[in-house]
Amino acid sequence: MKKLTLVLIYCGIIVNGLYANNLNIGVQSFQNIDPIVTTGTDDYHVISSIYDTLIILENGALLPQLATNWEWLSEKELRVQLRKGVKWHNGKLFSAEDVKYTFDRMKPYKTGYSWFYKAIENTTIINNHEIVFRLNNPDSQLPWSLASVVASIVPKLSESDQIDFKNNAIGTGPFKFIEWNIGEKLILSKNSDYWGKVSEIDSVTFKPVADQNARLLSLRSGELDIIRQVSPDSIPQLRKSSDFDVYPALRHGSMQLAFNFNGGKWNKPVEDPFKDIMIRKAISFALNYAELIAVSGGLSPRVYGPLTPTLKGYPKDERTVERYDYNLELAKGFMSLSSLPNGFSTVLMSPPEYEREAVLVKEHLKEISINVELKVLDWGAIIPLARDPKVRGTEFGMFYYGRSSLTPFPPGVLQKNLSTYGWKPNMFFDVGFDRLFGDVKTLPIEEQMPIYAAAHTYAVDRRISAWIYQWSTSYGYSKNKIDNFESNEVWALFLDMFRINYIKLK
Amino acid sequence: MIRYILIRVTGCIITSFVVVTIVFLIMQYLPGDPVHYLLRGYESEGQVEALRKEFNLDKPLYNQYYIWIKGLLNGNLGFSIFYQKEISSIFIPRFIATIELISLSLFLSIILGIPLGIISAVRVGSFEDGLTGIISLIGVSTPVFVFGVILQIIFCIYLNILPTIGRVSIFENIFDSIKHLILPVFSISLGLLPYVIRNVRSEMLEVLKNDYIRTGWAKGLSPFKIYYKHALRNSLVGTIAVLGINFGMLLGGSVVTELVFQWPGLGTLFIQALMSHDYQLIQVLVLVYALMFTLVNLIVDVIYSIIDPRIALE
Repeated sequence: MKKLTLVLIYCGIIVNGLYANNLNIGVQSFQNIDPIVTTGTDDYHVISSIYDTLIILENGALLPQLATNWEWLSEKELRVQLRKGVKWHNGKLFSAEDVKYTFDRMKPYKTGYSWFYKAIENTTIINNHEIVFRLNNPDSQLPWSLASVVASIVPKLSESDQIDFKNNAIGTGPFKFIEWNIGEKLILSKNSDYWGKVSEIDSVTFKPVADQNARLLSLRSGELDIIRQVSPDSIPQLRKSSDFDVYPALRHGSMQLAFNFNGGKWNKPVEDPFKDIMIRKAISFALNYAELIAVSGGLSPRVYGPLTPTLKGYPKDERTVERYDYNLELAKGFMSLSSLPNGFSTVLMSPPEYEREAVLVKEHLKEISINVELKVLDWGAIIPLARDPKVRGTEFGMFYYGRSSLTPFPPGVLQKNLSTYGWKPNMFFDVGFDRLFGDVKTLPIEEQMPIYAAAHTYAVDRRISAWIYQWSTSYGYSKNKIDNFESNEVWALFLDMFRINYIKLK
Repeated sequence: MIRYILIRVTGCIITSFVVVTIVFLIMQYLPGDPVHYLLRGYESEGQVEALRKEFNLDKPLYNQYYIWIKGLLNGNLGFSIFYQKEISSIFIPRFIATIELISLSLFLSIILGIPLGIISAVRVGSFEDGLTGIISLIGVSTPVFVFGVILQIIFCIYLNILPTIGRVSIFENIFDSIKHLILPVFSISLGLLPYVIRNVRSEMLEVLKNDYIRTGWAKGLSPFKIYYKHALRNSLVGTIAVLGINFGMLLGGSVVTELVFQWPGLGTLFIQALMSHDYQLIQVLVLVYALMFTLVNLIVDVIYSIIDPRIALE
């Protein structure tokens, strides 16, 4: 009997030891965990913990990860040397074959964000630890693109070892995939043989919790240690508490009130009010930015243009860019000088997550005699309205939304504001910008910077939109469990993410 | 009896398909597109069109419907655009979770509701009768999303003895599984309990006035035999009807309960599917809900005839 008791105690210690440093993370929902198929931010948290990329972007700088070195052989050829001795979670050795397979399987670039690598014509294996990327067109930003979580390196498996990457994973990263009970939890465990710094967290359990309140209650009850997206109402409350805090992960993009330059059903019989710069300026001074930031949770810094300070090419001297803040007198002055001094009616469109801010915008604009009708639609309904050539922008006059760049380079956000490329809610088309951005990637990185700064100034001067604050995602966390979240700021390209293996526990 | 059941099952299937067809048509005319929801505007030129083609969304409506029905008849539930997976792989674990929640809630409502109904009928106007009346009133008037959150605050935050959210499979850890079940099951049961109590109570009061009960007392039968053997059985017909009708409420109510307690069942899946305009997944879920609802009504009818052979199925 005594022996049995001892065995049970030992088993208890072992089990307790195995999960002593378990981290529970509450996310919204999972789609699937294939890096090139999914489009869900929560999935990328899992993917970035299981897989490595060739290059990693940390606090704005490129650092080697599975690649040890990279150099341009010509404008269209990048040679990458690979790390030796790295093992997959199944024990096999990582090689250039895996890198080739990763990029080959993206073709024909239909799924998720795989299109981001369309410029790669092919990859050629030089030897087991060296590979050359050949491009269709010069792209000096490729090393930054390779640091994206979408370019996570997956293993080339033999016929008999094949797995479904959507539901299962074998990576080289700091955590191993253990199990995924759909809708319940997804468990990862520490990779003790990791080639880099081994995490101090033994296991990570992700729990999908779609409801914001349920996530918050679970954080408060101690079932979850970190939650993604804290409701703006709860942020001040959590920040005041001695047990919890909120970490704002900034994104490469801004929230903005975009003006529709294409007159449509919404503004009849008035002719395109937003083509008048006086009206746009009046609106930019009528918005109470402090109130809007407070309603969003009060964590985000104010921005004045499409580029955020975290993006490459942000003007070095901020004084060269006009700053506009809430000034009702000035707003009324601009309105009186405009083509519609007595005001007009328009439609403001917003996705549901920003409805409260959109309601405030409506109230602010009432002060300068602009009567706003608010239309709240989800993304699946909004994009066709802005994109379909038949209805292109005819349903709304303004759009309150946030967009971020897919890379730390600004063409993504600038194109959405200025060029004729793709869908864009403001319908402001500038052919000059198309020409500029068509070639910008071919230029050396340093030469691209002044172009971005000039585009930023151009957009602000013309008030293509009224930019409000830098877009961010809030992570609520327990201070009793997590010691260090602040120093964990790692850009994973277009995602407002943190790296789990960098978290320090108490 | 078998002929009757076969006819009714066919009716259930036809009704469910009519419902699904109506939902299919409504979905097509609602604003929104699953591919746009998936990519959220971060797309390359031609990618939206390529994906629409892959998911058959570019085809005429009748063709999309035909492809889906054909797949269904071949045992293929379809493909979820949002999850980018076969629907069967997502649906089955969720279905099990919902059935677990609903059946336990139903069971709890019955085992609590029937004795409470009997007590309040036997002791009309007593303290116990008043107490069950109060329980019924609270149950009827408190929505699940209010009651559930109150329970979470009391038991999970202040007392910290039960988990706030989620589910653990019974095969993984039975104690943990029960702990996760307590609050959601109790929340759903509280909504259903008043209907069971009030029904048993009123039916019992009616039955207890009958001559054969008076004869029973005159014969010197024990109260147990009178209440449980003679009165209860006759009172249950109406209660079963109430349970059958309320099964729909239970299915609908479970969506809200699943959301509050983040129970990984069909309800939370339904909400995600609606938000992401995941057409095929919505159709499958509507079909399942319709089938479950109609089949439960059939089961109720069959149980009627077993409890009270005077009710002929034909």
